[in-house]
Amino acid sequence: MAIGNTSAQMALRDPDIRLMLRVRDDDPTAFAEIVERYQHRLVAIMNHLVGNPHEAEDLAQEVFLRVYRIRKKYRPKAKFSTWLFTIANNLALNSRRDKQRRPVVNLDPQDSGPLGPRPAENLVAAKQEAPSSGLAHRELAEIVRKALDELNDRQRVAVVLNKFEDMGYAEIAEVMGLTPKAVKSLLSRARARLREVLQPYIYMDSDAIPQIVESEDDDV
Amino acid sequence: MSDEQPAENDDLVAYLDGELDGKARQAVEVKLSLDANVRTEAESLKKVWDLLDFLPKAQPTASFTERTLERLAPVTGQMPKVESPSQLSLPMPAKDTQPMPLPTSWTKRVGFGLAWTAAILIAVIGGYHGRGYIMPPPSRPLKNPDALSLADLRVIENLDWYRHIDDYEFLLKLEASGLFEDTSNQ
Repeated sequence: MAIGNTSAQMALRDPDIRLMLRVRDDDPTAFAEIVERYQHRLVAIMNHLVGNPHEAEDLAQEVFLRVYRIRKKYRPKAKFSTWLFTIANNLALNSRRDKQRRPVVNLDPQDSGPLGPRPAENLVAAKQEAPSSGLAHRELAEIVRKALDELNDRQRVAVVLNKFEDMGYAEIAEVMGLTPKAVKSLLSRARARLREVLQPYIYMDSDAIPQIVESEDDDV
Repeated sequence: MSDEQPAENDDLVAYLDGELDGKARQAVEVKLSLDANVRTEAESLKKVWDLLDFLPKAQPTASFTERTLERLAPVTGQMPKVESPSQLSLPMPAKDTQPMPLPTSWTKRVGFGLAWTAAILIAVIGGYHGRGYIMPPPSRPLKNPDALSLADLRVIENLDWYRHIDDYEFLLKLEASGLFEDTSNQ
């Protein structure tokens, strides 16, 4: 299939566009190559958006399937990654909306029921990382995760794309179908909300370093 | 800074994100240099942003590509080819109608085996023929029958006597008996 002048210029600049054009032309290996190239980024972003690695992987697969289904309609108008993350954004938002409408019970195989984790499960978890630092890191990650969940869907997408995909306001705007000014405002409010939730967990440079108070028993 | 100044907040965040330029950027920089509260605000926003680094980064499972292509099969009726990641970044070759060359490791193994077989055959044949030149075979008849070793002369001379003797042990017993002592000393 022939491509226009603008498309050709863009394809020359972006190797992923050339790859996608091969997918469009039914090159059987090109699609597998796209999956290989983008799976890490997509799964990571989806996980930040939905907060569940299994669901993130399913959604990332769904993004790739959608890319394949609409390949014949592909016209390179932007960076390939922008186009891909536009699809990812739509799917993630739809998925969250569906979840809000139909809440589901998470049957994670690691769940141990009402009696709590079995001793063997505790041992397995303990083997993963050092006791103190691992726990602190995990707890903080949990708190940050909850703070991210406090944002509305659009704020979360803007934060994740800006922070983890290093996208500028203009590119985020393109992915989300907004103006750059709207993205600027979205990110400003998102940061303010995150600060409200996470304020107790940040140390300002002017804060005193917490002192370790020795107990009286030690002095005896 | 309060909610009554959303535009200023937006500019401060945009400044931290490197999205401001020109006059807007200069305006924020002036405020930062003059107002300690604005500096504190900027610092807290930055530190909160850094906390996001604590979020774990999910990785796709090893079979992600394969499973994705499997899900694609009902859509296409066939599976797109999967190649190893190292091959994926290489440019695509033209359609190849020639027979597939054997893997390098296989051809190497066959070549090595053939070389060893040839070497063993050469050694056996060369050894067989070379031996004939170095030493004559033991069964080969003597060219000159008179050239017997002088060491055997005494045996030949007394051959008639030796024919009456059963074995070497008998001779030792005979000597031990002392019957021929005087004769042997003469």
